[in-house]
Amino acid sequence: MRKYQALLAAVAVSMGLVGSTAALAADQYPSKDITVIIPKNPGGGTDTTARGIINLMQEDFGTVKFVPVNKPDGNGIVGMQEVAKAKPDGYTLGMVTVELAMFPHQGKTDLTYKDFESIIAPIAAPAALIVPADAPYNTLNEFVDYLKKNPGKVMMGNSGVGAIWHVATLAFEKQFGVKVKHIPYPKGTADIAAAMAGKHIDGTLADPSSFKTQVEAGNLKILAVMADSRTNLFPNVPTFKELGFDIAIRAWATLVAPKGTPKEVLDVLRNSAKKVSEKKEYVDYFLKQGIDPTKIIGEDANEMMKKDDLMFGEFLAEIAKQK
Amino acid sequence: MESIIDALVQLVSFTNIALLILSTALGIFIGAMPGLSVNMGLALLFPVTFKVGGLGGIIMLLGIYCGAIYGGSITAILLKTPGTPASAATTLDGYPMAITNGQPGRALSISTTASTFGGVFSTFCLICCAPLLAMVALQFSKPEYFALAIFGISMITSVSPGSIVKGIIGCIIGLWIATIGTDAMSGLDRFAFDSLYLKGGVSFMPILIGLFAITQVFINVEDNFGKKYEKKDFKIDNVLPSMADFSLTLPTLVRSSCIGTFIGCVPGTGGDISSWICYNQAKTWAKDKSQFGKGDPRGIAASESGNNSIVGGAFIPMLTLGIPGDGATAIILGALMVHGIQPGPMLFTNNAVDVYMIFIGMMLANIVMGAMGLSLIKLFTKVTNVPMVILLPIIVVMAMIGTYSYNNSVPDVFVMLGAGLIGYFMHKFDMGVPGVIIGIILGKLAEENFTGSLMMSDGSLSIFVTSPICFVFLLLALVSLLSPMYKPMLKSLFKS
Amino acid sequence: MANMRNCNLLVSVVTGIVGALIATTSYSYGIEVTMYGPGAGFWPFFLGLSLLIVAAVLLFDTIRNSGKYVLEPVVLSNPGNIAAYHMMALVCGYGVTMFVIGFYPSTFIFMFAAMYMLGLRNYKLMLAVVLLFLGFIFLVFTQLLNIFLPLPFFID
Repeated sequence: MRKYQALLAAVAVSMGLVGSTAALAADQYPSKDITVIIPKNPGGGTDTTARGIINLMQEDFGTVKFVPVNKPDGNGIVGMQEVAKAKPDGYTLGMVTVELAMFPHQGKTDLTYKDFESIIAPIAAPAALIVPADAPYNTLNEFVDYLKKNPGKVMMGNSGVGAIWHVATLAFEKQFGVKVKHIPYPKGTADIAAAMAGKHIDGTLADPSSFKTQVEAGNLKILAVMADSRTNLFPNVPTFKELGFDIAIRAWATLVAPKGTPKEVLDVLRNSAKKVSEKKEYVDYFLKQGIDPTKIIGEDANEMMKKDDLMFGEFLAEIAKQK
Repeated sequence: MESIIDALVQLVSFTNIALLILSTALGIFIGAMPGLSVNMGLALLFPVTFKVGGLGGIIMLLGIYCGAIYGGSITAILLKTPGTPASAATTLDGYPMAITNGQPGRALSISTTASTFGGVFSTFCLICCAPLLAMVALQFSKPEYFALAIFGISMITSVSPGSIVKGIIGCIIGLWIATIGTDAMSGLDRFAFDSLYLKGGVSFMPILIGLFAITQVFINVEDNFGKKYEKKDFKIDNVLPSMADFSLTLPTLVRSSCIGTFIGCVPGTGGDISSWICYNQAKTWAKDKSQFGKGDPRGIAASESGNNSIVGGAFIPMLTLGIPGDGATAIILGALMVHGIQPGPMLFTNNAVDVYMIFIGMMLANIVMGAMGLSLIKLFTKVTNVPMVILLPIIVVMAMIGTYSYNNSVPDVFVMLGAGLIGYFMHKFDMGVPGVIIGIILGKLAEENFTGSLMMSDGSLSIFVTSPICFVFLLLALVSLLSPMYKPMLKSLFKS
Repeated sequence: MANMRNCNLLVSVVTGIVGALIATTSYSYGIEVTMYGPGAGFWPFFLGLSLLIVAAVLLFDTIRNSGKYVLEPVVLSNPGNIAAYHMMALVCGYGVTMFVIGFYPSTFIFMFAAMYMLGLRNYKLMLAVVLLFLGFIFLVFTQLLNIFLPLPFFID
């Protein structure tokens, strides 16, 4: 009888074990395709970055596919809202850009960084002060002096009123107490590069990747970058911080999941992202396009979004007051 | 010389040619399907090109690019539905020739030949005078873009089928639709009425698909009511255009390819603008204009060579300055950079072999596209034999899929339906549809550059007359706009 | 049967109203030209104004050539048109149901309904066409290109 009971007990326990592993296996993330919502048009900077990184993360995930979906409606807000409202089970991810830190303060949406959990921010392009190579100033201070003597004359290109590079230029004006003429190029930094190459404007504060070829050819020069540390692409260019002005404005894009996604799921994604960001392929992919890749992962990315949100909040409120 | 041979050897391999053929086929499919855009196809294939690696990847992107711009003409001619916005002008003469006159093979062969001619011509321009053209392109600043846009808009008086006054109404409505949304020049939301969708602007694709595909479905339902199905018999002996057609369209081909290459080389303008300007110019310079809009081969030739010559043109600023002319060239630029080719002023000195590979690659891509197109003509013409009963529902579904997948947007589908309904009544009231399309395409270009020019000049209008390029285009625009008024006067003057 | 004169009158009145609406809304966006460039309402204001002018021109021309236009018929209510209107209703219904019951079910229904409405009665042929076509869409779009088509609202 005892043997029989022992046998029963053993069977029960083993069934219990098998049952629990089966339950665990069924919950094993990921078990079906993951959608990544990109709130921008295909082919743009955010889109190619997103496709690049999920393509690399794909290798880790075997048969499960990452499916990118472009939703540029409503200036990208519709796409970001969809990610925020999606079921937090890790099967709907999205890309958000620095606009997330600006839009809520411009009255365009109620979404903020608090609605998302970050996985990785592969790019955080700093605003670079770019001027023609033959301009009569070679350092930031010389440029500021020139501006003080010629208020409102120097034409600086940006990618649209209220967009990141315009805000960066406004911050620049405020920091140094100068005035420039803002000329918007709504189609983006490629148009600004064309305008600078054709000598139609005098400078710009924008992400340096579109200007890399012109800088290397010696037609343009970068005076300083608004970053915390020097960029790998242009190691000779000082940061605003080094020159004594603590101002850092970057256009980042972050791969995020909706708030409330369970930690185990986030960990899987973040670990994979971490692995990918250390691969040579990853670094090469971005460097060759003129983008300095970053490895801001998980909580660090959350921090970055929070910091920028606070910064833009203060700054944009001041601008609004001035009007 | 050795670099050219080096390039040829590296490029022409079995795998590369196979990849080119595959990607061109995919490109033609993407181009033909309304709603699937060139940029989407390139973005989709971008990661795949890395797995393929190196040259093969670049070749694939070139194949898709050329194929997609050409593919749009197929549906434009057979179904009056432009597969890509660049082929909208092809519908004006392509569809009448193919369906109303019953010559689909002739229309398709003219369009394929024109597309290949345009592509090859512009590649030659790229090879021979890229730096020169690039310098001209750099002269374009905001006033010049504005003048070019106005020149494009001024064509409305000569391109409009039907009543000119009503065509102008359509054009102004189109210009207005382009203003809906967040204005990038001032940050203000215009005509958005608190709708998140409208703040992003009304998408162009749904309107294009609605006005062409859906409207045509309704028109066909009406026209075919009560008619019995008749199988049409075409004997297509030769897929190449006849000598007569070729010599008739040759001046048009050359003129349109020049215009297209130039417009392609100016950053920010593309095949959609170029095809309309070329169509209009073909009509202006033709002695006998009566057949335009009814199946004149020159109309097809102008539009198709105009849009394919963008390819070579867009590569000019991209290769010489590292500045992409449009979204598609931006993707190709990224791909080139990741593969280690650095476009820009240093390219020609540092990587001569790479440059020749790109040139040869483009030539090959255009030739493969032409060959594929010609060989598939017999297959494509079979579409015209599909009974309307089956074809029309299929077109509606394809339009739905195309519109939805363009932006993955639900409101877009309803915009398309609305445009389709309105288009039907516009057709009934003799209000030409091309006007609306021209207005939407050129609206942003015109307004943003107008506002931007005034920002640069501190509000002074003199900026528009001080630049020679700007002034010339504005003058041409005025001449073109007033042409219906003085042309009859000139004619009677010459007669007497 | 309507004629072109009445249609032109309708078009010119509607255009005039739309033009006036656009002009007044643009005015509220600001139309001053300052050294920062023109106000956001500048360009659309002139568009609205031009619409008003063109509408007036059309009105004037229609009234002046009233005789000519009355003779141009605009076909709006013969059986062909009625068929077109039926198709319009069908297509709009399709658009709505697509987001309610999902793409595949609504396309299935629509295609049958449309082909029936256009006069086809050969049910076997209709079934074959619909299945073949949907299969093609499934293969190419969902599998190959990974493009999502609308799901029924009760999923997810």
